[in-house]
Amino acid sequence: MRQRTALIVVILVLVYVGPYAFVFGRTATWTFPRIDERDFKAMDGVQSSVSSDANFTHISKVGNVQEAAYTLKAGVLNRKFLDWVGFPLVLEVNNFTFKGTGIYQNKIVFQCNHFETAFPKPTGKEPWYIYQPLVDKNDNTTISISCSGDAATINPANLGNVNFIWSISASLVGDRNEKLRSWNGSQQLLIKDLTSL
Amino acid sequence: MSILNYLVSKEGGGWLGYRGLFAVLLSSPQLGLFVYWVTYQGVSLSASMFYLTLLPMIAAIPLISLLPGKSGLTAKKIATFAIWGLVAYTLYDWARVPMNIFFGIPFWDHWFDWGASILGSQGTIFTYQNLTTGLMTHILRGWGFAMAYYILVRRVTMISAFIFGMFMTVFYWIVFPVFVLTDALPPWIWWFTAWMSHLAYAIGLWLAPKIFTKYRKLSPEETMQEAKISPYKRSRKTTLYAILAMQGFGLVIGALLFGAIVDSQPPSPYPVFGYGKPPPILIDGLHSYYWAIPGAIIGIVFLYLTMRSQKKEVASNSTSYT
Repeated sequence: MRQRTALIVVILVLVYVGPYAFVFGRTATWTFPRIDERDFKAMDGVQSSVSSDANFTHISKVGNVQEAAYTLKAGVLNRKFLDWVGFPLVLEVNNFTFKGTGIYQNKIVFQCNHFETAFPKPTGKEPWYIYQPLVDKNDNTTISISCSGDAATINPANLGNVNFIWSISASLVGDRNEKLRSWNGSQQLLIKDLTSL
Repeated sequence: MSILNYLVSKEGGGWLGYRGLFAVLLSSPQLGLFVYWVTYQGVSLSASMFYLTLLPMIAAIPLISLLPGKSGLTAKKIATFAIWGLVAYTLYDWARVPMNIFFGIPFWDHWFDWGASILGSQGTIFTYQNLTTGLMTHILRGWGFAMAYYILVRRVTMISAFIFGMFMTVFYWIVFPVFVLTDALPPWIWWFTAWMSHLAYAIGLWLAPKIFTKYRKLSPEETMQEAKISPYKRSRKTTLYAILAMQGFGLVIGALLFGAIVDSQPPSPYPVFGYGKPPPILIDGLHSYYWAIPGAIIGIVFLYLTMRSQKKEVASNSTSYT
């Protein structure tokens, strides 16, 4: 009789904990691997973006030097991804660091050094009709980068194209994972003179 | 008149008396979550559960010791309900297990959110700590609702259990798609799972006292209290018809809510939950509102059959009880 009671108790306990054991088991074998897979796929799919032109905006005096200011656009593309339940998210982008040097005939025309703590993203607490457009909007994010250089190096010839060497690094955060990614590149940058505007 | 008496009767406690009070106090875990949802997580779950769950529970504990025994609702009875309450949500969770295996429904996805909101987790919410904390709140809610049911009804019947289950389903159908982001555009399988799992919950509500009575004999006091409740007469056939009628009307509510809630959301290219092919309910020209029609027909037909069967029972004084 006691054995029977003990058996019933054991069965009841197993019945009770069964669904929760299932959830923890599935979390370990399905949820987390699925999240990791989607996170890394999304992180690997992110691309860097640097605009093909820069704006020469103004000249200001810094000490005894005339400093020329430039702006260009840089950022990351394809932040949007589907999470483990098929829900759209955007990858968090933190500690975005941009460095660049504009060179013309072996002379440095300008340099850029920009740090952005975090890129904008929806919080996930918005109602769906607000959230969904925000996800699309934040899929590709570029920010304005300020650069500066000695104004003495500017002449009408190099206002056309300069060779621009740049590097980007950013910490990408998914649902469960974080990855530091970096990109390097060099390209011709078209300088537009906006000082007369 | 008898309903009014029941509501205010000191003997029975009444829904406007301490039965209602204890039902509200002990179902408070849901109240905490409700505030968390309707404020779009503006109120953290830890805060809402502190004020709207922990404090009501603390109030309930001393109040339970003051319960008058003559009502049939005693501290001992509530302790018994607390054990019965385990069955309903266990069946509810078991019912959702196959939905994950066969349809991939991640029914525990919100447990991470709840845990993170309570613990104030920084960084990823997908940790076992958050999952465990969220699970605890889920259990507490399932248990609290079961307690509310047992406190509200003087006798556990299959019909009242299914009515309660249907109430929970409709509550779920409204709150989640309206206030919970990831359920903003739930596919039909989500609605089906919500309905089906609450059906299992209702079966658990009904089954628990039967299981426990089988393994535990009533004390003389309890036997006397049971004897006070008038004999219960309803045939299995009437019960079945009534439940089917209820499910028919439930389908009407579900179809209308599905149409009103899902259609009110902007169209989405995202396969939220990612369940493959769209269900028939979303085929162009077969609008979800149309599903209310067969639902209404089923409801009316079975309601008629219920009433006819009930009338026959009264006439023939049937001896087959549920």
